Amino acid sequence: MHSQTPLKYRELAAGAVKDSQLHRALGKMRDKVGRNAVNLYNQIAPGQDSRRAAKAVRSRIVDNLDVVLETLAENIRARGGQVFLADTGADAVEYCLQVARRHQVRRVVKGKSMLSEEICLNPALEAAGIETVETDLGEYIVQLKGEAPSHIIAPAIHYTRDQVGALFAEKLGEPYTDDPPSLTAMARKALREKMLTADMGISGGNTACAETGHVTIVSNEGNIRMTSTMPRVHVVLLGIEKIAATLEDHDILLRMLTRAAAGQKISTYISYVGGPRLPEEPDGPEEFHLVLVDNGRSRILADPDFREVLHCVRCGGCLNVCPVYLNIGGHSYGSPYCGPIGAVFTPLTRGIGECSHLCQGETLCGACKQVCPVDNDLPRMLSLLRAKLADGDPKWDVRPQSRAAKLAFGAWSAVMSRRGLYDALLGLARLGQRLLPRRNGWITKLPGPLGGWTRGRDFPPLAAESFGERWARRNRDGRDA
Amino acid sequence: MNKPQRVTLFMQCIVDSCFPQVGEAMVAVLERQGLTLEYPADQTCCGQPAFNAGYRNEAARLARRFLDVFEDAECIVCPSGSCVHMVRHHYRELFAKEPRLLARAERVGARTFEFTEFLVDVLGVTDVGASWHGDVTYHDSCHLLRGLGVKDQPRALLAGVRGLNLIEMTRSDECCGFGGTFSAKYPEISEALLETKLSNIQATGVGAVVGCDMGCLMHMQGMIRRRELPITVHHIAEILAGRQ
Amino acid sequence: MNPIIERVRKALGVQAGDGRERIVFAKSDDFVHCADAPVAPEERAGWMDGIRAEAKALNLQVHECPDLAACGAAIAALAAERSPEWGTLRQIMRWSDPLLDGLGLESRLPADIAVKVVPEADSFAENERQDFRREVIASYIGITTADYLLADTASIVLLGGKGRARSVSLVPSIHIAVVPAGRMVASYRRMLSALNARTLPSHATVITGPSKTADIEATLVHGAHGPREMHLFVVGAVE
Repeated sequence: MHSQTPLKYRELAAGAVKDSQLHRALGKMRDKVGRNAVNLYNQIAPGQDSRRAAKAVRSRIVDNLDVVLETLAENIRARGGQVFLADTGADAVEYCLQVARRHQVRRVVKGKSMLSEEICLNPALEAAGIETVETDLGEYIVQLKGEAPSHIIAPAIHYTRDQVGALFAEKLGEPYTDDPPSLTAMARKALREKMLTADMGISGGNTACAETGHVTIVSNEGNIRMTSTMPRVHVVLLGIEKIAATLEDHDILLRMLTRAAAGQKISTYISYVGGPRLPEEPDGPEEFHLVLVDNGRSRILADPDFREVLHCVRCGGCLNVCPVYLNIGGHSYGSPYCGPIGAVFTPLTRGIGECSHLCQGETLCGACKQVCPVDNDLPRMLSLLRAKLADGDPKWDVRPQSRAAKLAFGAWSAVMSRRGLYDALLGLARLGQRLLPRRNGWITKLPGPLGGWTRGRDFPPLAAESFGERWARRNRDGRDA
Repeated sequence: MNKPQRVTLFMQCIVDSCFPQVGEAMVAVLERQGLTLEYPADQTCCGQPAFNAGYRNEAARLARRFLDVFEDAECIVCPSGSCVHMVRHHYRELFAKEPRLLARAERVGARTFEFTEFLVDVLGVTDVGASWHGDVTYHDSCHLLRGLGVKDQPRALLAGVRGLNLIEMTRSDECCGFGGTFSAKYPEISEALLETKLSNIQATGVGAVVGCDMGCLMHMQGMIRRRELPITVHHIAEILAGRQ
Repeated sequence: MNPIIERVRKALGVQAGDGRERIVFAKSDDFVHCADAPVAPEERAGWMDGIRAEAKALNLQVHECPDLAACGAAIAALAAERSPEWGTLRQIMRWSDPLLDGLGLESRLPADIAVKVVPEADSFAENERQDFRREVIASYIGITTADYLLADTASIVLLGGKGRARSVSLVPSIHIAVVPAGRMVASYRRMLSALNARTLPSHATVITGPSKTADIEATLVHGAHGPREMHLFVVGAVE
């Protein structure tokens, strides 16, 4: 992970909104994947209600998470796999380091895992002198660049092909090209050697099947299969909420996931991994570790207003339709989880106060809610986070953010509670606005906190008479006045 | 609901204070339909600005007042989808733990309609006898479209306007970047969304944009004026009241 | 008494051992039985068309052979045409399976193409594993069978087991899958239903075409880290 923080949201966003190349790239995700997702969901029985059906499945699982977790752990252990429940991200990192030390691991290959970014795994491995190589093409690119991923599914979406070409020319010593197939072939060659000689593979997981005792990993590139097959040790990092109970759950969850994430009916590979290789298997890892990570999720679970956010299957679908994300890119959020889901999940795990920009920096347009394959209501939760910032909430360790705003809204609601006061205020404001600079009648500079509007837009003046006053006058003077 | 005996006007505070002509246009259209109108003079605001910013207690105070003011209305019509969405959806959140207020909010909410929704779904009317000669494009406001599900009604009404030609823009349903206080707190992002919206409008080649929510429309008009762009902005009520 | 599980229970307001397993692991009758549900002949007749249609966009090459002998000849011809991606040695690694034995590859291929078979044993010594690993890495073609072929997505399902190595469908540049037509099932759901009815081995993979990526400018590229070329040989007729 990198020194990202949500505190820089406005600053980073202000830069990103001028990046027309970023917008072009993200526009492709929007047009190819985001805007078509709902049509693809409707292909799945039960058709229009697939999102609700998927929500019901996730809900049943999360509402009984203890049973599902215990069953999953028991079944994996029965096959000789090791299961560790990590309280915090640091505990999970420490566990991975211990496993690596025990096996004298010198090289780790990684399959894409947002959770590994969340817990800052890579820097810890590198500090321990372990070479850590990302193998997902997008993650590999951002790793070579020394940057953080900018999208949950497509980490390097913000680069152009010529930027990747220049990067590979510099770091891999390959002749410059901007042709994606040639660039992919370069990465294929460079990473093959790493994947075949690594001592340990660490991957994420997309879901699990508790009943059968398997972790399920969905991918297209084949690097995750390599990571989970060729090294001696395979470690899976999985959030405690990202599991399922039965294969029937997988039927709808996986089909919705691939449609939402990449507009695909099915991904190239779906791997069911349930433990280390059996003695009669000629290949596969000799040790298998499943690290189930809490890191704040059980706290979210305990709050009925926010529990729903744990249903998220990390498809990135909300990113692909969010006009704010599509303009400001993933780095503005200062968190491995960006876009609408990041705007809710990050404050709840990192601290609502520290992440106030994430709670307030979107328009609540509702596009994310419409596209979420598990029917999450992110706007409702963002609105609730704003309420906690406004009035504080000791349960979530957040204090009221702004006394001035509280007073202002208090005063405003007091005035709006009496038409007479409101009319009086309008009268005063009509006088006051004469002091403000205008052009063609509209105000060009507003004072104080409203000044943000007039940076680039004019603001309408108050009319000489309100609708209420005109209505009253009309009725007094007769219809045709 | 059948054709109501009387229609109670709910004026969005932005319309009341800055764009009263929009309210009057709505009145003209409704009167042409032969409806009896009433306007509770002491109405002020549904509380949405406070709710949107997270100040729920302050919003609830105005919400309770709204219920008092509009309790006895048979049918409430408002020229703004976001206000109607506030009443129909967010009042239920505000009063989730207060059964009596919740019940009142649900009763009032069930009788509250956005203007185009009222004309088409309640009155069954798509031709209000309007004429307006020119090409326009239409912007789908977020709360109206996604919150209330109103998408076809404004288009049906525009189709009934003599001389008007509607040309759809790319991604008419994409947010214009207003978002309430967001527009002042995050101006860079707000403007970026607005620029995309205006550029999509201009790409249609039309010179006029129509919408159903003055929040969005004043946002658009703000940048149009600042940059002197050749686009005129119209609330659908003004088009429907038109007799050009 | 894992403290995290306890914390989860507290968050949910539930107790251990209160019988919720019944709800959690409940499955619909439709799901449980759909693997056995009969398939109308007209539907079955359309499966190959469906597979061929899906395969195009996937860059999956589909071949239909009336029998194993024809299949073996076709595979031998394919192998003779291909050059290895890495190095010059042409070696095929195949699963140990009677179906693949029936291809008669060893006798059909030119002398410079060797065929290795995944060793079948109850356990392996470390040096045996290393030898096998080296052989797979040196192979330009990997041949497997599949336990299911899905008509709706042109996917194959490979269950782990004796004589079946995971790396054979992964490490060589070209993956060839030989599937009897009788192993076709209608859909992903039916396949899951079938798996539900049996004990899933410790490892299983669903494979749909060769590897791909769209990480650069959302441009689809076939051939990422897994096999860059994949051939599906469907043997026999769909009854």
